[in-house]
Amino acid sequence: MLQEITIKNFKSIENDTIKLGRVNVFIGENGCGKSNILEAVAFLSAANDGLLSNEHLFSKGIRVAKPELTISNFKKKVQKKEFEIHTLSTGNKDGNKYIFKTDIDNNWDMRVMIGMGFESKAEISFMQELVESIEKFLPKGLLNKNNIPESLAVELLNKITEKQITEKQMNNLMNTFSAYGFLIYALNTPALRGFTNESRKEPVGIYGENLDYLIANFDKNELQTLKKYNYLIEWLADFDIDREDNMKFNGYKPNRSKSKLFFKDKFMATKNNLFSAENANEGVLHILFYLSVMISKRTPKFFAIDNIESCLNPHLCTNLMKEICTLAKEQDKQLLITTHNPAILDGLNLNDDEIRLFEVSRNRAGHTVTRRITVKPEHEQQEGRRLKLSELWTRGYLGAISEKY
Amino acid sequence: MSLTTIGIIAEGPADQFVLRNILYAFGLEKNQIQFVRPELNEDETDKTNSNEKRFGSWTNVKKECESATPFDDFLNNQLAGDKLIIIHLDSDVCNQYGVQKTSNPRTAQDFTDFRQKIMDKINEWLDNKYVNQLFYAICIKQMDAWVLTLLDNKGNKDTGSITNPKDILEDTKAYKKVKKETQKTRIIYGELSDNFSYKKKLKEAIKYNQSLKDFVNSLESYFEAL
Repeated sequence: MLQEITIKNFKSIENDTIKLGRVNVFIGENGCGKSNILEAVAFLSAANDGLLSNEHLFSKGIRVAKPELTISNFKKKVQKKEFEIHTLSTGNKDGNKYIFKTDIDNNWDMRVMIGMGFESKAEISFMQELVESIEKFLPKGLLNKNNIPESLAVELLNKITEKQITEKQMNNLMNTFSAYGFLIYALNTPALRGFTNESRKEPVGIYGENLDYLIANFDKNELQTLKKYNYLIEWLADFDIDREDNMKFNGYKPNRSKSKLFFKDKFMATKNNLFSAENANEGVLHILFYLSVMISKRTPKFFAIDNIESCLNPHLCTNLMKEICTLAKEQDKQLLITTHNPAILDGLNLNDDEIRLFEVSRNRAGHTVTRRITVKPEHEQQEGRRLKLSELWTRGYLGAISEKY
Repeated sequence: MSLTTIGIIAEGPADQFVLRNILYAFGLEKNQIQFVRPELNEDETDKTNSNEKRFGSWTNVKKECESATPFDDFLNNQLAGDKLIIIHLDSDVCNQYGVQKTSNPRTAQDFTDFRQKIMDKINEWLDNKYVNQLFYAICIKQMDAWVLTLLDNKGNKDTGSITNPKDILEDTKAYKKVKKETQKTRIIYGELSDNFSYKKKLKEAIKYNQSLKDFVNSLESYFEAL
């Protein structure tokens, strides 16, 4: 897991360090820089993929801007020529340092210094051996020991079966390169309904495309787990995938949705209680998407959700968040989440160190700064006055509200 | 380690913005300062029933103190970190609330004693609770007198002795200039008092208002000296 990230000179972030947990929720007024934090992590992930083209950055959910707008540009400060991201992760205590700059054609280029903070000499020697093994599969000179595209390394590792790599060793290697596969999900309803197909990401698009495809490829356990959460939607009897797309031919998709997902309503007459994704309410599609990416083995281990509350009732927000926190542990996922809805906070147990809440704001110079909001030890809380986190936020006690109105 | 958070209970939002600028001089960041009362985003239904319109803002501060709810909610909630409250009142209507005005205060001690009488009244409302977690921003006359220390101190006398500091402030070039840019009172006062956020300027300003000086000195006893 990514444990700590320091971002320097990236968009509105001049220099900010965030100590991450497993589930990390960011709150702050519009334009404070929450999404910039997610994008910095996505840049890091793209760097680990060895792909920094605009197309690849865009596919991860980054709002790609020209380099002069990507590198911080504050009044009374000389703009730097590069931005930096430093990471610390489990298995790599010394951390990596990534420096991003552009070439003469304004294409992003990246240099990485990898800290080899392994716990024992055996692990260091294993790592060296591993790198040498990988090199055998590559044309000479392609692999620089200080700059290994992670996806390539992992692919090659799968071929080196004679090494009998243990899960722990594999995890250590994976953790050396932070943010593997990270991307930012920012759902929109037309994509969830199967009308648009802007994101080609596999297995699901970052705007919600191909949710039906993801669910259709669930194994029995994944599907069983997902269906456990049907209770979150009061009217939902069940959902399924119409693999033959018969619904289209039976007139259930007059608007020509490409989604093969369909739902059964608990309150409608049994003979006539089916409808497709294009007729379903927005809430159920959003809920199903979030739960599916949490449960799936094929979705990234580490990802972000921008504006998770979109289309959801406050009470549903709270319950969804509670379930996401539980699933994150069960499925070993790490998440960055942004929200503007106080009800999301009521689903967080801040007594659990793995669940973290951050207030993001601009300081007086306009730099994005992040502050972790923590609670007193449980025995001290009982002596004091307990308020819901949502109430603390709306009252202004957590910050993260606009004061210009 | 959690940072100190300061909540501000004031007569109005403009007072909160001025007080925040003073706190900046002590190195506090924006995210450490929270506006407890008035709340920034009072809902529209509440606004139409607003006590503020029916009663004076002293009445509201008094009510908050007597109920102790905002103090308890802010100081004793489950969030970690040291929490303190600044409570603000202008002295202009104090006699309606049982605090006898000091007529024509002249010496520094006169102003300090007058301030103390209002502090005693606040503590009486609060039943002497939270005393160690409070700072008292008592403006002799009005908050305008504090802001004037940055804009008009030619007379070299305590701006708390100016008969109508609000009128004098509104007549300054600086006020008229900012007023052209915005109608929001809190933004106007925030901009006019921006220089309070600089240590040197604040240090200079406190020479012209004893009640401001007393308040700043109380902050210095908790935070670092200016």
